[in-house]
Parts: sequence; structure tokens; C-alpha cells
Amino acid sequence: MTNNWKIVSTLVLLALLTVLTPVVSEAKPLLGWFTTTAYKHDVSHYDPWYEAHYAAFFNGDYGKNQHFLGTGGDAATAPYSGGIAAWDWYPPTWQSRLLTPKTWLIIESWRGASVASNYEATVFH
Amino acid sequence: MKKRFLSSMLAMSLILSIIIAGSAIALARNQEQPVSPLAQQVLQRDDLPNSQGYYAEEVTEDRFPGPSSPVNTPLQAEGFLEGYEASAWHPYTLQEEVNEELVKDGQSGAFVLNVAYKYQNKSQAEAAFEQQIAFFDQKLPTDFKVESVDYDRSLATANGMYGHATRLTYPSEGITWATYWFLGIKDNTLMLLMVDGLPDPATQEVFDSLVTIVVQR
Repeated sequence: MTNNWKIVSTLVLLALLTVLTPVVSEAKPLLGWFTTTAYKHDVSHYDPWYEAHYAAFFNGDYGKNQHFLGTGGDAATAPYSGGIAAWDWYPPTWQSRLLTPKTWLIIESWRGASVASNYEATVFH
Repeated sequence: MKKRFLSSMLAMSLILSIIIAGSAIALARNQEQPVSPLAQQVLQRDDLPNSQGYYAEEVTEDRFPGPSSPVNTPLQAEGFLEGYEASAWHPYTLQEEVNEELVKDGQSGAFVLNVAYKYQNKSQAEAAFEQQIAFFDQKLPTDFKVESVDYDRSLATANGMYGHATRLTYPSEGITWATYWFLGIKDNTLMLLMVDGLPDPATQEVFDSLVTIVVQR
């Protein structure tokens, strides 16, 4: 093979890599359990119709091992609905939203109670 | 020699074409999806300058699971095309002493939720609006209070919008809460604004300032 064709082959390979790179970067991670922080804190649902329930939303299902990373850590959540370890996941089928008690949010907002990145959990993605 | 030069040039042209095409594909994939015009009708980040956790996204039919409410019913209504929401936590200092005692240094806040729902035509938007209003006409426990709230109706009318503003005060988790609602219609779009916090003048101030923005969208 001549030197020219070696260069051409290398460049073709590089060109193909350029084309394929975005496909690779968009691929979903392999299935498994991940520990991550919530991507948003928002209204989850209403029950009854007038009462908003709030939650930390995670990119993944079957949430568990939740922790509060804000001021005071998990211990600060203890007076509210049994503490963060006892807080419910919603909806019951997917369990992708960690419900955050309203009193906790209103009274302890100075701790960063409504900041999504202050909630960490292990989810299946 | 000339033939070899031409074949090299041809190969280089081919490679350049692949690189350019690949770059174009990569660029196109990295571009954000076209943003719905509805996204411009909900509260923008600049409308909530002191807020935390501003988040805006398209609303799907399963966004608000659970029992029927003024927020998820419009997603099931006839003619529903698309929805978009913006939400944020709006921190403030409480103004009334009775509420200040609940929190450290009077620091609290209110949740803000703004949803826009688009329908195929105006009559369908009006039908969804009537379904929303019906929730507030329901019989509620005696310790609940539903009150109409004033907003600048002339400003709303000038912008082609009409609606209904309500304050619902109710007890939950040992605390009294105040939730402000604005439900409005402009052409084939239904607008919902909810401000949820303690019954304090600071909560109403947040609602008053935001409803003024919403009725001008």
C-alpha cells in the first residue's frame, strides 16, 4: 500500500468517527442502580384537589437510600414525617419522586429545602 | 503520476464531504428541539428574579398523576393540544408576627406554578375553564375559606384575557395555608397560576405581582 493510501485510510477512519461520535454520546447509560441528585423540585400532584404535594424529581425509578445534603443534613429532617428516610416515593408504580413535606419546605427553607440538588438518592435507570 | 494525483484528490474530496456531512449531523443533533410558542407564554426566569429552582418544561398528560384537580383536568379535556409549565420557589421575609414565629428569622417563601394549556379552539378552552372553576364551587369543610381576589381586570381585558382569581385558606399538617389561584382564558389558551404559602401579606404580594405578568402574556 502506498503512503498516500495509508493517509487516505486514516482520514476516512477519522471522518467516520466524526460522524459516529454524536450517536455514541447520546446513548443511554447501561441499566443499573445509580446514586444521584434530583434534577428539579416541583409540584408532584394534588390530593385532594386543592392541596399541592411537592417532590424532588429523579431521573430514574424505584428510589431508595435518600439523603438531604443541605444545611443540617438528614438530622434536620427528623421532625418532619419521621425524617427523610421515612418519606414516601411517588407514584407508587415508578417511585421516581421523593415527596417532601410542606411544613419542612416552608419552615426550613433557609436550609435549602426546596433546592433539588440537596436531595440525593439511589435510583434504577 | 497525473492519474495518481487525481485519485488522491478524489479521495480527499470524499473525506471532506464525509467530515462536512458528519459535522452537520452532529450540529443538528446538538441543536435544541424547536421551542413551542407556548413556552413564551408562561413565566420566564426573568419574571422571577429572586426565585430558586426555576424550571420550565412541556407538560405531558401524566405530569400530575393522582386525583382530579384544576391542574390535571385540563390535560384530559377535549381538544387539548399541548401544555407548558414554569415553576419556582420564591423566598421572602414574612410580614406578620404570628407567621414569623413559625420560621427562623422570618425567612420563608411560596411555591409558584404557572401552566399554559393550548386547545384546538376557544370553545374547548372555555369548556376546560368551566371544569376548573367547578372545583372551587364544591362544598368544603367549615374551617376552609374561599375568597375572590382582586387583580387588574382592565389590564387583562386590554390583553384579551379574562379569568378568575381566588384565595383558598385551609388547615393541613397543623398549619394554616393560603393558596392563590388565577385561572384565565386568552383565545384558545388556558392559563393557570398557583402561589402556595402561608397566609401572610408577603404571599399575596408575590401573587399580585405575578398575576399582573400572566394576564399580559
